[in-house]
Amino acid sequence: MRLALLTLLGACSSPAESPNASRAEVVRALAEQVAQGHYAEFALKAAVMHELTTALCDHPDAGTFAAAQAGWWAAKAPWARAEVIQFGPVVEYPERLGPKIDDWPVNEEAVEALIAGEDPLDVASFGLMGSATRGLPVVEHLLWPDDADALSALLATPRRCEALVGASGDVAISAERLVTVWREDWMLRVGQPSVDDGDAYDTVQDALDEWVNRMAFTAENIRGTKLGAPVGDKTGGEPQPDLLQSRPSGRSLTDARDALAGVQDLWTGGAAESPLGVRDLLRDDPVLTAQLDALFETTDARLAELPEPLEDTILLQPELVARAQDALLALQVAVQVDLAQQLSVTITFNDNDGD
Amino acid sequence: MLDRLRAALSAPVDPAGLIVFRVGFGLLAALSALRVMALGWVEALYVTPTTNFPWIPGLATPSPTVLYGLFWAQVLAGLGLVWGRAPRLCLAAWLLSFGFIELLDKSLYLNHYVLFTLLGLWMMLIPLERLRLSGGAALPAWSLVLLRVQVVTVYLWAGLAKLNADWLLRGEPLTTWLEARAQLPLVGPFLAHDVTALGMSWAGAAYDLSVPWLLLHPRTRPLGVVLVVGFHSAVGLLFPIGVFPALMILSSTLLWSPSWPRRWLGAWTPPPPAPPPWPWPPTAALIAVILGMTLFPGRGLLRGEDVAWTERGHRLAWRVMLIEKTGLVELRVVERSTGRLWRVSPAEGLTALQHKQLRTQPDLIRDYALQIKAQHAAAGRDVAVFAEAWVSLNGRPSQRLLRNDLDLTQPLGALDEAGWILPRETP
Repeated sequence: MRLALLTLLGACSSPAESPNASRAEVVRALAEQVAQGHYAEFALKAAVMHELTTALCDHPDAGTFAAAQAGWWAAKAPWARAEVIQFGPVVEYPERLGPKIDDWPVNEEAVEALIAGEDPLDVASFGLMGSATRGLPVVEHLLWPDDADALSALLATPRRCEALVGASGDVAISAERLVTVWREDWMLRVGQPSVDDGDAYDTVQDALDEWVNRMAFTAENIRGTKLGAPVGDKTGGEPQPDLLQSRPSGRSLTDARDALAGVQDLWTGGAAESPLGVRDLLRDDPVLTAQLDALFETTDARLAELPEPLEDTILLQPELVARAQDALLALQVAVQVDLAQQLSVTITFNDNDGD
Repeated sequence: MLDRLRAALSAPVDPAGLIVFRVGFGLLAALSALRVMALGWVEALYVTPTTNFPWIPGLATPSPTVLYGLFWAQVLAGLGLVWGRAPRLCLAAWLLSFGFIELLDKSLYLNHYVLFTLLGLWMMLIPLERLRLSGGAALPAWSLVLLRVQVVTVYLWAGLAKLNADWLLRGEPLTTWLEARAQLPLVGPFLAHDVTALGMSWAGAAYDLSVPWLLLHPRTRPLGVVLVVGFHSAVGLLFPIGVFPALMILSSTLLWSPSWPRRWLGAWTPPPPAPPPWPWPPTAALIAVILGMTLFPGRGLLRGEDVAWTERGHRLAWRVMLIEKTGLVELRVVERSTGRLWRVSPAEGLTALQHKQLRTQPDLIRDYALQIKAQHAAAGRDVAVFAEAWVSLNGRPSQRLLRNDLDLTQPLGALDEAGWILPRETP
């Protein structure tokens, strides 16, 4: 009766003018443009990386070696930018592609044992391995080995080059698979929950909850995992440089900035022709919109201020790291508290909290 | 006048309505416990958590075997109440089990579970053995009065708590909640309409304040019944609130004529000799209980602060559906002797539900700070714990909830004196 009364009430008055984009439009755009865009770019860059490592092993010299390293670096960018999409085929079975692509930290002993052994090291063989000996961290380890000249090591041990080509090719295949599974399955499940009859998300609001939660969690992970744990937040201020992600390549800080850019892509809609992001749900709230715009800018500036390599900065200038963490915390508050409040988003649980 | 009151309290009342209530109560008790087990909540809420926030300090969660035993005891006790044999024993078993479970974790607090408990507690006081349909059995009127006052109290405080600017002028938190349901088929666009939330807010307040009286008076009772069933069914469809709608619909029958089931059971004849007036001691005790149950929910008013913000006096006060809060908390743990610093996200040691509650509730944040201090003390470190806590209430911009320069492990009195909970800034 009450709903009928409300229906009558609604029918008797004109609907309020809302300049905001609809939640359905936004979640669809995030799935079809932002996520699909990141994954497609990652697949493209991963294929290039594989070509470059192949070229390195065919003609090993300083030029092809530098190109291979640049290939890994470039492939890492869209992957780090897609870190915010910690749901779907990267974590869900049967694919669960995330660990196959990037199970950090690498098990160096297992990789070296693999090279020292006699098992085949082609692309197909890597596809059958466990996550400890495959993926981007393995390629990084081979291109930036500890205490060794990588090019000399590759020249001295042909199986090391075989492993490099095999591991990078395996990443390229996983990246392509990620694009396919997202496009054919998850894009509809996340982007149009009302059309899809799967059980991932019942409503548009459920999908929006997922995206906003991931924005907050990623800001938290940059603050706590990429910066906080290495600088000693969990150990009473005792620095833990081993906990830096992408430490061998010196890409730790760039990883963090790319991950932040991924969060910002959800906010703005990214680089699509007609971008539509969470920001478009708040067109009638210029104050919060401006606040979040400014926070993204400030946070990235604070990260950019950190001198490279991050490994030295956490040891020598932890106060600069703390400044960046403070900016990330302010951003997280704005997303997790203010944005979530405005959009009635239920904040759930960061997967990293269980660690 | 007091003699008339004593006579009225001892007057015979048809037990038929209370028999139906007892049966419904038993069914709900059994179904509620079965539901908790079937949904895996025993594991999720009590077994999985590595920490809890007990109402009684030191109260530990028992083993899974004991927990499941307690829930099965609730099922059996509920079914026993339905059957009607040894009802007091069944009710005592249910109360002990249900009440113990409720005491295990403040973060799992639910108003309707408290109502469930209180109704069970008051039923323990009434002569349950007289709940018979045959033989001219009767109950003393105070039995019904006790339960009725409890139900009316819930509605009245729920209604009074809604008489504030957020609810009546801003339509919050319903505006925020309903906007999130704009994509629902058919009703979605209407739910998201500006007028809808405001209309529902006013209607909700009017409902809470009027429905007890509508139900108590025979002429308006049909309207009251329609409103109760319609309101709670709609709320149950829109929001995930478990057995609350069923409990409230069942409880509303206490406000009907006690003979309402006689339409199907045959007429009731009161026992011939009029009972003597109730003695003074139990009359005074009853008045004390009623004063307690009716006034205690209003204790938050004594502080003259926004209870929705501080949550001091929010629990056990029938303040339902009033707040939409989001928050973020991080603790800074500083070793006193060395100045070493740890940053702790409460999420790391809590379940999602515990964390969700803690993020916006000062007493839970402090409880957690005390637990952190104890963990460090076990490692031989003396630490102070500070909180960085931000909260947004009913669509307002976020602000700090707590002073971040106060060690939360200080005695509560010292914290209160220092104004550890910051006042709400945005009107």
